[in-house]
Amino acid sequence: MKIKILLLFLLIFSVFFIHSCKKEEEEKKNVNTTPYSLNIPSGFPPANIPGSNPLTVEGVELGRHLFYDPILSSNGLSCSSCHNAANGYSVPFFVHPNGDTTSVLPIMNLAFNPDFSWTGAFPTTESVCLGDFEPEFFNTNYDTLVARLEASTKYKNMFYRAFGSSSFSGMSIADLKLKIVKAVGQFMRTFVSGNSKYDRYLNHTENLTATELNGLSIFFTEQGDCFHCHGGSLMTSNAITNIGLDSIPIGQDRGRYNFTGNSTDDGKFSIPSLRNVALTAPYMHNGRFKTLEQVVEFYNSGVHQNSPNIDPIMTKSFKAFGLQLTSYEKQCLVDFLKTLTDTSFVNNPAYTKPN
Amino acid sequence: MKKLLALLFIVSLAACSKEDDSTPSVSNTLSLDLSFVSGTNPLLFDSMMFTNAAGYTYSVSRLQFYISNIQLIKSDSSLVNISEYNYVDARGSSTLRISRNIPLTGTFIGMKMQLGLDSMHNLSNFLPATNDNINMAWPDPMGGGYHFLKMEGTYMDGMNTPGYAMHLGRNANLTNCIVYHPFILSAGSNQMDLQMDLNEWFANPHIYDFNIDGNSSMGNMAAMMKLCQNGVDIFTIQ
Repeated sequence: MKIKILLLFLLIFSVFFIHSCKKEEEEKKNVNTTPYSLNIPSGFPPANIPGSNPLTVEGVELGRHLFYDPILSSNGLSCSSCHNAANGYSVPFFVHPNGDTTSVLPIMNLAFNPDFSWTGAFPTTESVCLGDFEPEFFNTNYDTLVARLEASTKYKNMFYRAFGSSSFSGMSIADLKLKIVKAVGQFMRTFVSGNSKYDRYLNHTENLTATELNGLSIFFTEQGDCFHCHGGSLMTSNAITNIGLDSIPIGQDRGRYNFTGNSTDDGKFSIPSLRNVALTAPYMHNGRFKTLEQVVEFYNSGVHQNSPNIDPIMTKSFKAFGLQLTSYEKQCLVDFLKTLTDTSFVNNPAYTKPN
Repeated sequence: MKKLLALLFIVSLAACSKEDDSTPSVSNTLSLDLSFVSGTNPLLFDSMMFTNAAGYTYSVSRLQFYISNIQLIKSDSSLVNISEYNYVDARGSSTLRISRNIPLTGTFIGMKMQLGLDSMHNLSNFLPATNDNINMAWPDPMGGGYHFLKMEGTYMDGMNTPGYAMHLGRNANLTNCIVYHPFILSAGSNQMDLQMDLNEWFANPHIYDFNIDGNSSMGNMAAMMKLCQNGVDIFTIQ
């Protein structure tokens, strides 16, 4: 059922997208936008910006206002309700109507992701945002939304500057939703984190402590074997895999299977970045681990090696009895993970609520 | 003196330009299409259907590698370079065709290539920071550079199906592959199929046994050396 809903959702998104393109071409004649230059840290891959939604100064600014504004919802929620700076632009939990809890993924370095959500079900940030209008999240009432926007000189001006259109009542719901998700998508792609203590260590501008260095060594060797999934400048391989959380995954723990229906996807989830991981507790897709210490202990002694489709990296023969890290080594690993916190990112005024 | 230097500079530019003029016509190309088998079976990912020389039934979930320094072997054994390095993901169709201009046409007796990156390229952060290259990094604490090969999957071991991770890296394990197979390259577009037999990683000259040699190879130089020596004849031209 979930698969059908997701496919239907993606189909609707595609139809919206195609329908809106023609109209957009006409509107673009009215608009003169300024390209937004994304500051990409050294060693990062090229940004993955869709040609249909290039970053513009005007689009990012509109997206920033919409991101923090409950104007989009009928329940007082805004995007920022689930993505705040103190939690590295995530929040601990989102509780679904059926009682399932999801650990909210942070908004960070999305411009470099190939896909989105814990199951990799969404190809773009825009497609993720489109789902936020649904009853489960914003429960948007479109008549109310249009009336609010029509009454706002600020948004009329900002929409005109970004997209060349300002008459919301003359806009189809599909067009309006697409413009909103494009603007918010642009804003979210500007969230770039690449200035942690670990980055400064790599750039030779800051030293790590002895325990942090020891943790780095565990992380980047087969002693911890973290790097195969969490190496590189993004601290994620962006793969979708099963790390052995459950012997027999059920319900939402089946992960990507719930999207594709393929048995070979049972138990698989998108590998999240570890950047700012100390701020984004709890951990795993359902927040089952409350602390980094619990996460490390899972990898040390709790992996279910008989889990279906478990990643071969998790079942190397020397891991048959776990990583067998000492208490000191586990603490070193946690200390290293904390060096991935980028305070300049969470304090960046460009990402905060606009005045 | 300045005039002399200026003249030398102009002459140098002219010389460069002359060299450029002598480069091959862009109309002569060779496209190598990579394909994968295990023995006589075409590669089907995530299917427990292949059997290696040690007798293990195995599946493949990941196959990524670099193929570099592809050279055509002329009948007098001289070599013609056609390619520096290429990243290949067997799951990704966009990386399965290597197309290059060829500097000359004629009859050739085979092809040489390296599975991995030579020491000039196998340096940490040397390659462009694409997601593919970043994910092939070999960590500095383990020697730095890049993975040459990631071949992963599962195998039948009694009632269990543990994983295996055959990873190759480090300069000493650069695999020199040779294919002797006569072919003719003519003016215009040429196409050839280059096939990798995955079973060859596990045989010839060494039988590679997951349970004896290790179901992971990365930190095990002896295991990587076996794979490297087995890899000499992994390719055939179809």
